[in-house]
Amino acid sequence: MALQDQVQGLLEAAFPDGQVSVADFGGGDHLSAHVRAPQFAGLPLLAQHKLVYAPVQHLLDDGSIHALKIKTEAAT
Amino acid sequence: MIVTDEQIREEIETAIRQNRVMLFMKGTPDMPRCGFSAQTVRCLQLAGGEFAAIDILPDPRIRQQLSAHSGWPTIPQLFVDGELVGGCDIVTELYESGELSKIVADAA
Repeated sequence: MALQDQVQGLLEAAFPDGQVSVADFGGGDHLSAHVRAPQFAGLPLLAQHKLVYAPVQHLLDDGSIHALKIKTEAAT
Repeated sequence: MIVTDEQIREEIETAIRQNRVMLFMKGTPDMPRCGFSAQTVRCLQLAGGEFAAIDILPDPRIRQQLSAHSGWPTIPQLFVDGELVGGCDIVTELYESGELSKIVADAA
């Protein structure tokens, strides 16, 4: 499975009530994730981004993902 | 000279404690070695603050120890007043909203 699809799946599982859109911006391992989810409401940006990193942490640790741009939005 | 993990961790913690605006990056502000580090430096420079920077590339253990300390997996990492502010995306958002200047100014 392409890394992009794998990350999309992991984030969808982590944010079942949210909208997740993962895009590849270079080489298959430079990804950007746009996540809109109710969990983000009231959280500082840092905490929001940590929630996005958590389900894909292992892919960052082993170097599969070279770069992950994150954009979060609190769904109302 | 052999540098231990413990010494690297202490050096990171000292840098965060002693510099109110502390950036860990790939490369240096004058010669960034990664687009995300370059963008973060640019935001900080445009926000008009002074900041200290450490290049994490010379020893892979710097990044390991830094991420263990911060709980943040990627580089760059910006700390202000001892607290992690975030990486490139957060710093960019804070710059665009005008908050970064305030954060950096408050720390100066």
